[in-house]
Amino acid sequence: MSIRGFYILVISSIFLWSCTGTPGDDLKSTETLPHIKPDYTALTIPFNIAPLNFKVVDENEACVVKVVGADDQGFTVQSKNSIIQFPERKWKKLLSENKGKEISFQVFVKQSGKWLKLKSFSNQVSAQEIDPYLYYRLLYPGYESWTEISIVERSLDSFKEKVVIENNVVGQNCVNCHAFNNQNSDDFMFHMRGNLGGTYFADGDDLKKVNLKTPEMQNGATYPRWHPSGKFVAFSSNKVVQQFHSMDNKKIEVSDLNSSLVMYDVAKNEMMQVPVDPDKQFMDTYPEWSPDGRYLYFCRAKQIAEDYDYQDTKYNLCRAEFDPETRSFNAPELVFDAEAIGKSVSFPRISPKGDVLVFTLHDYGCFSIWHKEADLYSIDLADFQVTKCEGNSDFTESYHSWSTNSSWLVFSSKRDDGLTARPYISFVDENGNTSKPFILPQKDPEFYDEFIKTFNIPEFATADVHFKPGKLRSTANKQAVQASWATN
Amino acid sequence: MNSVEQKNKLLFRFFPYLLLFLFGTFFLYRFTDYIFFYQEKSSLFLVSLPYLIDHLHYPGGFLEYLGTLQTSFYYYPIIGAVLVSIEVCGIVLLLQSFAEKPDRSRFVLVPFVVGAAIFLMQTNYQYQALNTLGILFQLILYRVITPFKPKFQWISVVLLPLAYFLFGSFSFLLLGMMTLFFILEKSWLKLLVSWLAVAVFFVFGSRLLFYQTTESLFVAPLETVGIGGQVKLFSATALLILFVPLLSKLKLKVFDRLRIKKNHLNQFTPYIILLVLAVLVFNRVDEKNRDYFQAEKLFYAQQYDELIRFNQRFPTNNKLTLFLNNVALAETGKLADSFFRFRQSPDGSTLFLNWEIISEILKRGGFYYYATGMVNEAQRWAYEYMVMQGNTPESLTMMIKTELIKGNYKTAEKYISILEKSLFYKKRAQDLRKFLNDDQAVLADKDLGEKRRLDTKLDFFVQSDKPWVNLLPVLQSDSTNRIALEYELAWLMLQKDMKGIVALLPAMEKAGYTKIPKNVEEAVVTYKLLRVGELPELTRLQINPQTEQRFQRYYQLFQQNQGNKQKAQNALREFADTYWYYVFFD
Repeated sequence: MSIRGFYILVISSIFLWSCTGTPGDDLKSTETLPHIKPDYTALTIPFNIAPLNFKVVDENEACVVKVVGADDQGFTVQSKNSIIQFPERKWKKLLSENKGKEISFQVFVKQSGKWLKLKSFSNQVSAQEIDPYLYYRLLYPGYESWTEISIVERSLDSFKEKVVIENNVVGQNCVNCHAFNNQNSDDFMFHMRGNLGGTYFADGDDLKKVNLKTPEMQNGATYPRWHPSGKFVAFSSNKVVQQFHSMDNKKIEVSDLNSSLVMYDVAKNEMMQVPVDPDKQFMDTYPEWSPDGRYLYFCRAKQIAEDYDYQDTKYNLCRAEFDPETRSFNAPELVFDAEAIGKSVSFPRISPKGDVLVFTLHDYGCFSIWHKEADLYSIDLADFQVTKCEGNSDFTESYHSWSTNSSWLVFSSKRDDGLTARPYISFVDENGNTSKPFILPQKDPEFYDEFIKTFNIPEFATADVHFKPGKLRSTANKQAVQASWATN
Repeated sequence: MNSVEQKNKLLFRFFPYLLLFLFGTFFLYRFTDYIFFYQEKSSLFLVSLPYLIDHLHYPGGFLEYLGTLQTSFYYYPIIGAVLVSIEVCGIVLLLQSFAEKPDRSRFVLVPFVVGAAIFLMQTNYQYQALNTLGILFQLILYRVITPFKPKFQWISVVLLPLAYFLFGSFSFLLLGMMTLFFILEKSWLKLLVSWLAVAVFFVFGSRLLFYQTTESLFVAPLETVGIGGQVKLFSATALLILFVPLLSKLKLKVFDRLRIKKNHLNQFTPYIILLVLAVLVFNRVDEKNRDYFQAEKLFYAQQYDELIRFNQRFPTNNKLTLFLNNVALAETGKLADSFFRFRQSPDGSTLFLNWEIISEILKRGGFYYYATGMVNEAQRWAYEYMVMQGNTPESLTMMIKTELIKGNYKTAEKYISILEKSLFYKKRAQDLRKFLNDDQAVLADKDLGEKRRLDTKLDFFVQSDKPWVNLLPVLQSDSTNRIALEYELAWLMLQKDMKGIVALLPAMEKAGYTKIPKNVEEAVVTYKLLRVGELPELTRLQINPQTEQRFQRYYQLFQQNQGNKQKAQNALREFADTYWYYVFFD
C-alpha cells in the first residue's frame, strides 16, 4: 500500500469510527417518551433562549435528535454519548422562525445495533421575549464560612457567563443581596460584609460605597428593593439568628429576632424609618414596591417574645401607601392573611405590569430557602385572589424575579437534590397562570449533576453590568460615604 | 585521559546526585512519610477539565494545579519520596548547568547548598509541593531561554508574563534571573522590554482580569503556611538561586588550589553538604507530628482498636490525638471502660471540640457528632471544612456517608461523582456508589447502617459551642444509644459528678449493659462507699466486690500520704487509670 493509500485508509477509519450512523428504514417506533435530563418536554420557551441541550438518560449506543419547526424544517444532531448539544446559530434561527408555534423533537436511539424511534415531544415557542441577562450569586449553600462568592451575569440567549463581582477581589469579604431597579442595570446595588463592608451603588460607570447604618439604627440595612423612580431604596433591617437542626433535612433555621423597614434616599444620602410600626409591635421585612411606586408591600409578623417558638412566627402580606414627594406613608393594610391558614409569606414580587404579585408561602418564619414545603403563590392584585402557581415541586421553591414584560418568572428551586438551588424559568400568561418551568439551560447538560454551588437570588436584567476588578478593588478600599438619618 | 581518570570523573560528577537521590528517597520514605500523609489528606486533585479551568482564573493557579497533582501521588509515600528527590536533584542539576564548561563540574557548592536547603524545608510537614515545583519550573525556563541566540532571547518578553500567569509570584524568580542575565549580557533593551511586559501584564490583569487582592496578585501562590513558616530559609534560598547566573561565572581560584592528592577539594563539597544535610534533617524529624498523623491515619481507616493500642504504646498529650482516641474508644464501646487509661482534659477538650471557624477544628470536630448519631451536625462540620479548604478525601467521604445515611441519594451522588474523578479514591467512590437508592444496602452496612439507626429522632437545635449539652436530647430520643450514653458518662466523670453518673445506671441497664464499665464502676463505688447518696434499684447491674476492695486500698494509701501530694501520686501510680486518681489528682 502506498503512503497515500495508508493515509486515506486511516482517515476513513477515523471518520467511520466517529460516525454514529443514522436511522434507516429498518426503524422501529415506540410510544415511549425519551427519558431526557433536564426535562425539557412540554414547555413554553422564549424565542431568544439558549439551546436546551439535554442528555438521553437510558443506555444507548448512539442517539439522533431531529428538531423541526411548524413547517417541518429543522436540523439533526447526532451523539455517541447521548449528550445532545444543539448548534447555537441553527437553534436561534429555528426559534426565531417559529415564534408562537411549536417545535418538535424526534429522538432516535440505537440499542443492540438497531435504531428505535421514540415518541416525539414538542415545546411551544413564545413570541414574548425573555430579558437578555440573568444575574445570580454563586456560592456554596453553607452556613457560616465562605471563600468563593461571585455575582455572575449569564446571557440567556447563549451560554456566556461573566463574573460581575467576586469576593476574592476584596479578600473574601462576603457579597450579597444584589438588586436592580426594574431589571435596569443603571440602578444596581449590592452589599458587602467584612472589613471592607458597605453598600455599593452603581453610579453610571462608577461605584459608590455607602455606609447605610447610622447610630439611630438598631440593625444594618439588609433586603433591598428599589423604588421605580430610582430615588429611593427600601430595606428591611433585621437582627438574624441561625440555628442548626439535629434531625430534619431542613438543616438550618434562620429567624429574625426583630426587624423593621427603613428607606434610603439616594440623592440626599439619607436613611429614614418607614413609619409603619411606631409601637414596635411587629417584625416587618421583605419590602417590595408596586410598579407605580405608590405602595410599599412587605411581610409582617408579630414581634416575638423572649421565649418564642420559632414555628409560631407567621408573616402576613401587608402594604402601605407612599407619597414620594413628601416621603410619607399611610397606615398599613393587610393584603393576605397567611397566619389565618397557619402559613407564612416571604419574597413578595409584583409583575412590572402591576397586576400580579407572586410570593413564597411556607409553614413559618421568613427564610424560605431552607423550607422544603415552600411553594410559589400568586395574588391577583385586582381582587386579591390567591392561587398556587403551577410547577411547584415537593422541594423548596423560593426566591423569584419577573422579566421586564411580565411574561417570564425565574425562581430558585431545590427540586433536583433538595440541597442546591437552581434557576427555573416559567412562562406567565396574560391571566397570570404559570407554565411548566424549565431549568436554566447549560452547554453541558450534565453540568448540574456535579455542580455543588447554589444559584442564589436569580434576577432578570435588560443590560450588561460592568465592574472591572480594579474598580471593585479601588472602591472597596475607599472610605464609605456615611448616610445621615432623617426623621422624614 | 586514562580510564581510571574517566571513572573518577564520572564518579565525582554523578555520584553525589545518586547519593542525594537515594538518601532523599530513603529518608523521606522511612522517616518523614507522615508528611506525605498530611499533605495528601489536605487536598484532592480531580481529573476534569472544569477543575483545570478553575485553576486558570488567577495567576499561579496552574502551579497550584500541578502542586495538587503531585500531592495526590503522595497517596503512595514511596512515590512522594521519589518525586521530591527527583525534583531536588533536578534543581541541583539545573543550577550546576548554568555554569559554562569547563567550570561546570567545579560549580557544585551553590547548587548543592540550594538543593540541601530545599530538602531541609521539605522536612516540614506544611511545606507544599508547589514551592519546589515553582522553583524547578523557573529554572527550566531560564535554562531553555538563555542558550538561545540573542535574537531569540526576545521570547522572554512573551514568556515572562506567561510565566507570571502560570506560576504567580514564583515567576519573579525567573524575572530576577533574567534581569541578571541581561545585565551580564549587556542586553539593556531586552531587560527594559521584559520588565515592561511583566509590568503591563500585571497592571492590565489586576485592573481588568483577576479578581484577587493586589497583595495576593504579588504573592500567590506562595504562602507563609505553605512553606511551613520557614520564611527566612525560603527567602535566603530564593535569593541564592536568583544570583546563580552571577555566581556561576565567578572563578574562585582558592578552591582550585585546594587538593587532596590529584583531586580538587571542590569535588568533595557535595559530600560534605550531604553529610551536614543528613545531620540536620535527622534532627528535624517531628516525632510528635509523626505519632499524631499515624493516629489520624488509623482513625481514617477506622482501625479503632489499632489506634487505641498505638496510643497505649505511645502515650500522648496531644488533645487532637486524644479526641480521636476517645471517638475510637466510643466506637468500640470502651469509652466508659478505658477512659482514664489515657490523659483527659477536665474542660472536655479531649472529648469534644468546640465549634470554631478554624480548619483544623472543623476537619475533626464532626467525628464526635457522627459517632453519637447527630448526623446533620457531623455533615455541617465536614461541609464548612470543605467550604474553607476545598475538597479533601476524608471530608468528601464524610459528606457522602452522611448524605447516604440521611437518604439524600441525589446529593450523595454528586459528591460521589466528584470523588470518582480523583486519582486514587475511585474505588472508594465506586464502593459508596453501590449504596445509592438502596436503603437495604445502607442498613446492612456496619458503619452506615449503625449510624442510620442511631441518627437522632428528636429535632433540636444543636449547640456546637457546648457539645456536651446535645447528649441529653439524643439520649432522650434513644436511650439505647450506647455511644451517646458513654459520652455522657465520660463527661460526667470529667465533671466529677458522681450523682449524675449514678443516676444514669438505670439507663445503662435499659441500654443493655450487663456489666458496669470499669471507670464508671469506680465512680459508683466511690459514691457508695463514701456514702454520697443512695444507689438506685438495679435489676441486672452489680458492683464487683473487687472494685470495692481496690477502692479501699486506694483510699487507705491516699490517707497515708495525704500530707504530700507528690508522695501520694507516686504511691498511687498503679491506680493511674482510675476515676479515683483523676478525681484526686486532676
